[in-house]
Amino acid sequence: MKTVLAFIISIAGFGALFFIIDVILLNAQGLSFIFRG
Amino acid sequence: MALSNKRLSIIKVVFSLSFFAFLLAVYFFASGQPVVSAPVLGALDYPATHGVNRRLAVWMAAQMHLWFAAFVLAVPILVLILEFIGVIKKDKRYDRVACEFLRVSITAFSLTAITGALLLLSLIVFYPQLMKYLASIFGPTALFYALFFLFESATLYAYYYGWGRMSEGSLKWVHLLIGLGLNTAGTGLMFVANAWVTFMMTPAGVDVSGVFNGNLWEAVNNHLWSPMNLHRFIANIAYGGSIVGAYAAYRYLSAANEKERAHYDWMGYTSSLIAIGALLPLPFAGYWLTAEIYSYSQQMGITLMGGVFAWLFIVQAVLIGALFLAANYYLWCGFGRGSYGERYLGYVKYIAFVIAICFLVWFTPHTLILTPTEARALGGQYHPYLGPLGLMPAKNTAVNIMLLFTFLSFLLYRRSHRTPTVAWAAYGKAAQAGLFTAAVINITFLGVYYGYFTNTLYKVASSVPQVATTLFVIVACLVIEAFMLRGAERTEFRWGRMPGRSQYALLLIAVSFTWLMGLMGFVRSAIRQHWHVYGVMRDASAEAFTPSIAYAAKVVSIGTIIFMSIIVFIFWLSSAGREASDE
Repeated sequence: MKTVLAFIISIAGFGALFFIIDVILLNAQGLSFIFRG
Repeated sequence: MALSNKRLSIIKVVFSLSFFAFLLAVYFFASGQPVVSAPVLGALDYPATHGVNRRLAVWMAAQMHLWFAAFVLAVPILVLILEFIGVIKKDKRYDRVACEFLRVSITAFSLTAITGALLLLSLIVFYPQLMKYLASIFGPTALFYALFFLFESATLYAYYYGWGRMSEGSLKWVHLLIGLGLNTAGTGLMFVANAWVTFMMTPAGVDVSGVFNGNLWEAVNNHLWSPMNLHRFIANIAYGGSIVGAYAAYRYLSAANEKERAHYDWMGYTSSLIAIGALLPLPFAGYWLTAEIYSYSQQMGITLMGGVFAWLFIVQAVLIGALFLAANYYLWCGFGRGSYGERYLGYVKYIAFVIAICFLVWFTPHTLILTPTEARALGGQYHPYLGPLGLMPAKNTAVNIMLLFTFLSFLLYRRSHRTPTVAWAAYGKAAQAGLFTAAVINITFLGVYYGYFTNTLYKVASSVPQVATTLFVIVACLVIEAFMLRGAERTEFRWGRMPGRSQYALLLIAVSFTWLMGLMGFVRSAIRQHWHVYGVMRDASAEAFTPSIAYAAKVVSIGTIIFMSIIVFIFWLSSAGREASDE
């Protein structure tokens, strides 16, 4: 049961982290350090 | 006797490398006179070829040179990494394999120089005006090229010949330093050559009529230079790993005893691990390269991805898909090396299913070649359900999920000889499973939402967080794994127990890489279309048209067969040399 809980918490935690990374990288300014155009 | 042969062969290599460098430097300096603007060429500006197809001759010479150059630039990187690991781990196996890797590549060094000289000669003979124009801008870079070449030759000599003499104590560190110098020179060489090639695609430092403004750095640091440097650097490592993996497979299949089989099994695993490890970040470098092409010229980008060349990306998908299946198959076979491997065999069918689905999505074409009857039956040019899978967002999603599941195969492989014993192991595994699940959801969301329901800017940009997600999972999982496997129950891998068919997977990986490099290299070069230097210097020769994909595929396939035949000959030479020195 605790393992299932750990699995669900991990999905939520890492999901939130991925969401933040997505927002930063999808921001035009966030991308400008990679692309010149 | 063996020593003098060794010395003789290395002298030949040094001589041929120096000869090529000398030839190039002399040409560039001799013709590096200021040119007012890019010449406007007519058909008569190209010398008669007496029946020789000039484009085909240059294409073949360039392709052969690039394959050999990729191999000889990559192997010293692998060698240095392995030698360093051997010193840190105090494991002589790494050192032995590193030395063997270098010996395999030695013959290829001479062939790199020979094919390079052939390429240079064919360019000067068939395209003198283009070479004159390039030399007028890049003349001074030839000095760096020649210096890098001479430094590479000298360090190669010292690195290979000094292996035995500098094997202990502080001398070993000096040897590593020489290896670093060898790699720095090799990478520098590639960067200089990349400047010439990328200038032809995305010229900078010149105006529309090709008048050079005198700022050489601007011409060198053009739009594609940095992404091309990164892409080729990573791809070369993957390529070198795959070719050495093929060598190990060749030796494994012809091994005379168990000890030899165990040695080459380990060598094959190590090199394929490096090849696949370098392949994982390669799509990111590819995105950067492509984004810079679009950023320089949308027209060029559309020719690349949306025109006739798009079909070559389907061929690419088939080849890379086959490559991933082969890599996964090799890892699954490797479960048998560990004592606990059997408990993971049940997962193989699920991983295979996901990879097969991703593979199918990846090579679904967007535009179909249809007869009018077929188009009527379909209700249009695109398939109503499968059509969306032909677009890049679907493919990016499939590729990233494929990378994740290949990494999962690798994680299970690593566990096949270890069982974690830490109290929190169950939670650690749950966290890893959660990480994979969240990543697959995120990658799918980015692909579907930003790929089909927002504007085009986000469609392209969403590929960046997709790759970032994949890379994050790889790093985070390895960190969790490292902590979780502290004090784990472990048994030794039983090397040499791989079935013979697994070795054919390694051979398939090497052939796929070679073929891919040829095909995609053609696309990269061909998007210049009828330009020598894109938008600046027009190609007026009779061969200035874009050949059909079928023709290009035939040329590259024949090139692949020739190159692989030479590589097999090099493997045979290397084995023969080893047997002779053993005797």
